[in-house]
Amino acid sequence: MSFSFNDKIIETDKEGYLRYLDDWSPHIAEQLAEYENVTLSEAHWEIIALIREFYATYELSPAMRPLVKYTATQLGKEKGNSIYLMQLFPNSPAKLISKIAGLPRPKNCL
Amino acid sequence: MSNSLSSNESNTKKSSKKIGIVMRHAPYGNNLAHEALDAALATSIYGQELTLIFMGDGVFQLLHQQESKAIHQKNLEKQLTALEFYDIEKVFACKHSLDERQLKQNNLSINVAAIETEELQQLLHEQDVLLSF
Repeated sequence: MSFSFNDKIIETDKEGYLRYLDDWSPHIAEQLAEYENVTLSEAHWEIIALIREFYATYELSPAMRPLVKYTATQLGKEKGNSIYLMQLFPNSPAKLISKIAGLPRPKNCL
Repeated sequence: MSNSLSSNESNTKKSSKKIGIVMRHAPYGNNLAHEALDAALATSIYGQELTLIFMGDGVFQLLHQQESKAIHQKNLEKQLTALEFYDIEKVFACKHSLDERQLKQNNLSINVAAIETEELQQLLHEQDVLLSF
């Protein structure tokens, strides 16, 4: 699958994850979020930056539990909990955040 | 929502098994090290009692300063340092294997408990399930 953005073809897998991680930019994130019916606010961007930092450090797309734990260590417990993340990114936060942040699908996600 | 989550947790606790994942091969030559890590991360989600054991050439997986970019592979060292976020805390290495390869704790990327052969045998024996990679 693919979509075009500024005359560039952006390839995704069939679940909508970017095929080439280098294609990612904040504009692409907005486009990916729109496909998922999520409107990105400051709070969303904070989490997107965080998960990209996790990936840069550990080369893993975190599943829900490590994502919650990492968020808690970096941003505190008010944000590092599953309810907060679910409010921002409904249903499957870990998968949705990875997708919008241009990372591979978390492998170990229920 | 939180109620259903906690009841799930208690269910998994009842059926909790001791699962040992044994790393026996050096990284990068084949995919075993990554398969083992995937298995460990997946298992951690189910709330099982998980133990990682590095032995034989598997202790090479623990080396620091891995430069996997040069061969276009993911960096196992970086991935291992994420174990704490997956609540994987029981990580052991065979002391004999480390000694044989002249590796010391300061050559390793993460903190592991180096254990003697007898302790290792005991540890392997205690597990309900062993997955060897």
